[in-house]
Amino acid sequence: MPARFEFLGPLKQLVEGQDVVEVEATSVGGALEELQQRYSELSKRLLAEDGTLHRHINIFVNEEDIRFRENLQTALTAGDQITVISAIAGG
Amino acid sequence: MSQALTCNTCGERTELKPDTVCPSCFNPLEITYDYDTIGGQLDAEQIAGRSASMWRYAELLPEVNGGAPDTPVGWTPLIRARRLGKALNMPNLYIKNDAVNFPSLSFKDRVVSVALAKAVDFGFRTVGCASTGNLANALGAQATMLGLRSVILIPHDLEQQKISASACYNTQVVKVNGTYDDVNRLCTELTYRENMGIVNVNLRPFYSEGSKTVGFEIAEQLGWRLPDQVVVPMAGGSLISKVGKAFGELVQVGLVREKQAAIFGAQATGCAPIAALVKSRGEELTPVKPDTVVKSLSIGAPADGHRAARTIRSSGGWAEDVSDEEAVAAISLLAETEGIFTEAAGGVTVAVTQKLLKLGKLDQEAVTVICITGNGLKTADLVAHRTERLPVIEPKYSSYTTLVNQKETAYAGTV
Repeated sequence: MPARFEFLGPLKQLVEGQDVVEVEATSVGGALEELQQRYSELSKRLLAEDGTLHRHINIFVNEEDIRFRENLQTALTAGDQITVISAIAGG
Repeated sequence: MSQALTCNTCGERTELKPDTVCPSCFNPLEITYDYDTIGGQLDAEQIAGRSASMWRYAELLPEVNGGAPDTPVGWTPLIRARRLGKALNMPNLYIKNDAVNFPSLSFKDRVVSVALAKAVDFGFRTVGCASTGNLANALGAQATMLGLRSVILIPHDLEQQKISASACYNTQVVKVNGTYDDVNRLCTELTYRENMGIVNVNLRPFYSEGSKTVGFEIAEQLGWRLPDQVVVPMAGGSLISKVGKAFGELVQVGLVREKQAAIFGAQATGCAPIAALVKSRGEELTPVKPDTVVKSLSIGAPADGHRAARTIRSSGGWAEDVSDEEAVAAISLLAETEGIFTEAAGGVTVAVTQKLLKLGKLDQEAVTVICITGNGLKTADLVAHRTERLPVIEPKYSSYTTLVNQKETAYAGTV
């Protein structure tokens, strides 16, 4: 069973407005590489020049911020729910 | 466009609308103004004749259809803190006292005033927020005043006083099993899945502009001059960034003479990601899981953390953090010296001021303003130990005189 990615708000444009995209991958970074094959703008918009996640983007795997796990190396298992969302909120 | 939502990274400009993220590069949007026009039209005399509220600076706040709200939010006292100044050996010390802000006794009344004015403009019928407590109180009160439906999402373990106050308003309080950062993520999802005006998500560019009025008022109350130093508590990092923006805008429109006020940030050690970034002299902020009694500053992944660090560094300031014990002791210090009862965040700000002095980061002689952002009644349990040894007497004069004789030294100044 693949992992399910949801891109919310303005980030949805990165996957051509789709509500959910499914990816077979073993890590978040691997999934983004796979998605890059389908959506050419994705990596450029989500990642900083050094390949790390852009500071204004948050990725949650099953509601947990990947920065509290292994960042882009965070492992994925079948059926994981991944939410990609802007970090410009709160305070 | 005299005002626009402008991306602070790629510079793209759009009209004012409920949005917080640049559609092109996903960086934060910021409201920009036509400072040349404002500078040519606005002067100190005009402002002096206006109502005693934060909306006296309307030209430097988001435009509101139908005019600025008439609720008396802001214009809180700037106190010359002679007794605290004597205790700290700072002869030119001031307290900006938002513990008495209207209507809910914290600086959050300012940001909510702007956010809800714009929520009405944009046609939202339901508003909401993710809150560490003070914002919940402010949103509950002002949404009630405006007749808006509101939903307040909070971490389940906030101080009971803040939850109780929020629950009394005409609002729906929802406790979330998680940290503030969990609540914040949920609210961001709500923004995009429901048609809601979340004040610190899709209304955030407007909301955060309200914080500038702390800086405007400090300058006006000092006689239209900027302080030499200001100490500001940090949670999401928005307030300190906007105080910096406010000082810059006052220079740009000619209301004060150009000067670099040094801006200092204060956090609790149990949640100090911005102070850690400043002290590391690095570039990237490391989020933390909060572990402190200072709930109102418990944001482990602060949205404006980088901006706050830039504001501090470019001003020549610094950031520090203090333990919960130091913060609680400083609540008492402020109350004992100035008669101002502040919440835990205020204790952090006073205690960090003490620490910055000890480290030689603050100039003791300089005109310094400490920003007190919330009222002590909201976190009164933290100082409950002060009541443990209070004397209890019979309702007889003889009981009173016996007590006074026993406590002669302690009571000498008051009897």
